[in-house]
Amino acid sequence: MTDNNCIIGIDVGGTFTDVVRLNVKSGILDSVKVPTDYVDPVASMIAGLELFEDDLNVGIESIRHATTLATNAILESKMPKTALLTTSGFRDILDIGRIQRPVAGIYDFNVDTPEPLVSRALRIEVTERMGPRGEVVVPIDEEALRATLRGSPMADVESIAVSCLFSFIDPSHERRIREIVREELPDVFISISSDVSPEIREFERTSTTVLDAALKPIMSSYLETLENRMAGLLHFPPKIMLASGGLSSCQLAAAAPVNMVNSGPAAGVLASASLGRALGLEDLVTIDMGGTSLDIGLVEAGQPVQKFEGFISGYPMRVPMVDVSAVAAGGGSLSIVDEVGFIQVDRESAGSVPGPACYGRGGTRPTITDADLILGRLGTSFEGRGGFRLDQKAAERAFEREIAAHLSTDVIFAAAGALEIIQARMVKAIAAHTLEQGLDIRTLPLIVFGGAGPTHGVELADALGMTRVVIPYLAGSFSAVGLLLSPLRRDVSASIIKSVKETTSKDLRKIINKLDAEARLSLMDSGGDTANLITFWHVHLRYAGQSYDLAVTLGETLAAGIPEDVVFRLAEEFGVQHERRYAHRSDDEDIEIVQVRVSVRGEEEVYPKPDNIATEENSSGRGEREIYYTGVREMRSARVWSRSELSVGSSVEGPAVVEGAGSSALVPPGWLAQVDRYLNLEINCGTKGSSN
Amino acid sequence: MTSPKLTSNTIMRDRVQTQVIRYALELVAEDMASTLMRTARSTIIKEVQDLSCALFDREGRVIVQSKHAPMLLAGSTLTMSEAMKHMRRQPLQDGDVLIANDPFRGGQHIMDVMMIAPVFNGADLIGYVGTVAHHSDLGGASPGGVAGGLTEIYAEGLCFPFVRLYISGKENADLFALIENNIRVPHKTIGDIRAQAASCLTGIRRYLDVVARFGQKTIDRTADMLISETEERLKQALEKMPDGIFTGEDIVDDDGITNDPIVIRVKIIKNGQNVTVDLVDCADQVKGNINCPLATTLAAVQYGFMIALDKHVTPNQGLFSVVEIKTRKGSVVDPLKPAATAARTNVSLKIQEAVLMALAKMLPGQMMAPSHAQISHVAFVGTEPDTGKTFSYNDIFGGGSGARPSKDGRDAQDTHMARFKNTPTEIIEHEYPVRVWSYELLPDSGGAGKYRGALGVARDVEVLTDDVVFSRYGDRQKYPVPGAEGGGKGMPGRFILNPGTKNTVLKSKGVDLLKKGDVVRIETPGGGGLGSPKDRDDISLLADLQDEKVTKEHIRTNFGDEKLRDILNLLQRSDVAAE
Repeated sequence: MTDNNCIIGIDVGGTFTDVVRLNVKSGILDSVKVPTDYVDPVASMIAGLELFEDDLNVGIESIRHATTLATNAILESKMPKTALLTTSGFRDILDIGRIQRPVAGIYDFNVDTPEPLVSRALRIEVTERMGPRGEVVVPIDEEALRATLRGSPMADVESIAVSCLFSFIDPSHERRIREIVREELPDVFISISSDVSPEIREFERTSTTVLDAALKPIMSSYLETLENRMAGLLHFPPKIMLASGGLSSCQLAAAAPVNMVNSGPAAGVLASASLGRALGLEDLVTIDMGGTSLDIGLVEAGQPVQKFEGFISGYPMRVPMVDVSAVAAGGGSLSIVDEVGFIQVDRESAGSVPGPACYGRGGTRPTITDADLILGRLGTSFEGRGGFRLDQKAAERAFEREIAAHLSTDVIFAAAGALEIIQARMVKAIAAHTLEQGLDIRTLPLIVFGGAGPTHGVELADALGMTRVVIPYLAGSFSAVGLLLSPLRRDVSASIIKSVKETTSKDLRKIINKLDAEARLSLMDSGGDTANLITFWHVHLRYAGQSYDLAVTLGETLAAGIPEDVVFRLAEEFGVQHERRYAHRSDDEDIEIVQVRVSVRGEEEVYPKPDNIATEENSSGRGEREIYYTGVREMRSARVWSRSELSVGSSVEGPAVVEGAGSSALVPPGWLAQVDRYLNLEINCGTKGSSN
Repeated sequence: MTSPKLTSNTIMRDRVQTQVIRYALELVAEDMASTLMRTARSTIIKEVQDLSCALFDREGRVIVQSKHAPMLLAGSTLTMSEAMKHMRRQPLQDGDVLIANDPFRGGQHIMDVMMIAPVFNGADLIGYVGTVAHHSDLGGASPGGVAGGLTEIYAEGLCFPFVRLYISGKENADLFALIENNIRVPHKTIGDIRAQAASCLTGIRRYLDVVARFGQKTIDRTADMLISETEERLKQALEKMPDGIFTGEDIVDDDGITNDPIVIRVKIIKNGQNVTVDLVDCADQVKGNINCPLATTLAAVQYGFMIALDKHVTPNQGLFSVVEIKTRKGSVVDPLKPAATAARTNVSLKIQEAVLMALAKMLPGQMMAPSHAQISHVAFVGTEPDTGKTFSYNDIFGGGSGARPSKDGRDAQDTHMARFKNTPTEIIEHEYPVRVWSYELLPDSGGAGKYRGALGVARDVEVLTDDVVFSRYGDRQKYPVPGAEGGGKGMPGRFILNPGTKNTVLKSKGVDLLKKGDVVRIETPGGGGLGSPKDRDDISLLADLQDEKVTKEHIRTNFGDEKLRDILNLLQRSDVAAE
């Protein structure tokens, strides 16, 4: 072992690939950013790795990887031909869904829930039926099924999803169907709903299973390529990030690829949780502002807030995931003058292609990044933007032509107006996300990252009444940092749906222990380090007849044992939680156990604290420039700092800007930024800084 | 002297500030809604989100609303104007909350309860907050209002005039006791009522935060600007449209008491920026409980204009100064007490369809074809064989929407103003002694056309125990959904008892007793087609045939023998290609 042992995190995004490296011994992080090669993303990963000048063949302990490939395949509808086998009479569940049109369609009759991923002709009915207690009402007609599988419609199908009614109670029909498919069509990928999402509600379960099946051909071949190409470089396969906020082997990831959707944003929240724990901040809000979206997350009691159902491109997806809500507001959001002369910023985005006008890559319309540049909030050149200079004249032309000329105003007013409006929109989105959880945001710190985050974060915090902001070191590639901090993880669950009166503690203990063994076994089978695994478990309960439930835990890991009276204690804790979240409880109502979840995880990584940092004398910065701050609504003369010239403990008083590492951090008047021992910028309202 | 540029920049500043404050006020309304959803007890509020929250200025004008249930949006304006009349006689104090649901004084129907609270900044009354939400049980002759045969509002549940539910921040204990004593599941309804009050209190606090941040004068000016922005948007859109008189007509099958059709007639008289919507020729009010209170009628008209004129419009008071609505007291769209109104959706959705049909004549090529405009509310009520407890399985159904100007209708969804969610089959069978044998699209049910009307759905439900009461409100079972611009009709819906054996067709609105093993088939209507079938492209028609969304017979009937031959040839070729 050398002194240069390191862990690598690679986050392949739509525009850039971020590679982050942690020197295990010194705790020092560094990063590179390369453009993503759409055709061959592995090539961009290797290109990024090679930018580190040291010898790569020694010292890498592990590589962790997140990719938007699965997400993008769904968003761009580039899915392989997939069939669905389902209970006779129910092939249209994907079409019918929950019958409710999307909120965006309330006043726009052209907006629909998306067309099913499987066309009706490929949604095939299987004669079989189970009842709600797992009783066989109609056995499988195996001969008919085999005949169908041999038929011509199945000829070029690449993958098959199987979803039968009540399979979450008894998976035997689905498993038998899988056997038959494997016999008849050995080359076709297959996903069964009792594996992918063993939970009640046939539409959501089927939708999740279809997504999983459709992603399998794409992700299997990608992960195989990745393993092969990396094998030349490393002696061990990379670990893959999941939306749950944990890592998995390539093999387990390929077996259930739906879990890889939205894994990048999850890593950013996970990194924030880890950073928060290091700083003694247990509860916090996170924002990740990039080119197209603002991703909002929450950390409670040191852990990312989880949810168990989300949507991708309008399709429900029910797997454990870090609760991130995305709003279409980013550096690429376009400003337009609407029908009645108001500036609107929420209708279109320039995305990464063609991008902002100032990028000079074909974009000619005014974006938020252009506004930031015009108003001095971004420098025309700073490190980490792939080296290219921003074209201020192009930004000004775009705002002049499309905004200022229409409203008989000047470019400065137009750009400032666009900024104020998009910030108000982001404030609304952040507040709405935290209010849903019943939290008072003003007492919480805000962790800000993403390429555009640091330029807006402190002003957003100010408008939200928050007084403490942390902009992490490597804010521009913080999701990749999250990969370094993620534990190995495996989530499994079982449905019960029984009254607490009908469930004995003994039965429940048996189920939890069985799930634990199952999760550990699959981790072991896939070659994970199973030495220090910790098992978390929780149980979803609800008042009988209610359609929503609460995940309840007794706060202890499985190592602490399951109490003798676990059912009673869960019911009691459910009452407490229900009251806290919904402001009432009713002890005379029957409580049902719905779902049991077990999550087996490796040890949490500690946020790296760099040692041996040279404490330089503060330089006086790089001079001054005029910067527009939305809080004071005017240009102020601000001092310009480079992140690299600020050492631990040094502080910067607003108005100022700190440039570096792929982002530009604004310190508004009245705020004080200080570099903490983790090299974060901690920015506090008022003149008193933190004592770190 | 100010330079022109400076003046213009002041306008610009005002406009930017208006946008910023609009987001801040919308957040207040959304915060109210999320408080309500979080603390309420019943699924219809928590999951279906049948609610709306609004902020008003001191004159009671709506400034912003949460975008949840379009049917409830416009209603709050009328309820508020009635509330203002009441409050002029009996002014409210800080901490008071009014409760109201009287369909004859600005309310929707009994189940939609509105609460209004004044916002005081010190001693100054600066505005109001309001919430309206659908309740599952407010007493009356039957829970949820599905039972047929009710002919007077008195049987439909507790009807609140404008009375104080909270007085100076304290619960009015007498009123709470009265409510509790008159409803079936008090803890749920009382829980929902408290959640609505909590939502108002949240709204007051957040409203005052916004006032503190921007200043009262700025907020007042912004309220004016937001309302005139909405007016301006609608007027600008109207300016571009042709003048004239445009009519639309739709039909409700019957009221469940008699077999008489109920005709909804809409006349839009448009002249420059002035629009009158004349509903005077709509049928007289009826005995059955489908009468549509004025607030819901207004909502149906406003909805039509919003989607036709400008989908970006902020729904507020500005809507009302643009479109004048004329109704006749005593008609089915403006009924007089004691008309029963619980199932008003049957009429309100037809008003909205008739408005859209009239608008389609004004805006040829821009509107969608008519839709199913029904919800087929059904209830199966009986006794659990194992436990002896009463069960009540309630459900609602989507259907076929109309084809759009550039695409087919999206199959089997809810429609326009009515936003609902169905109940999953696995939940149904887990909780009730029934077996669902199928839940699927109904082939051939969508109207043919250049663009096809969406398909309706069919669900077969077998009851697994004796003496189950099956009550329902269906519609569009006699008069099919019309097509538009040469498009074909949708197929009407049906309720069939024991399909395949006895095939008894049941009444659309009625009550029957079922025995163990009986199967009820619920079929909902398909949507109207748009444009002539001869303009439909072969690829889409072939895809429909391959997907079994249409049969060969349907192609033959609507497109002719020759087209069927062409499509079958294409089918053969694509099959060969697949092999």
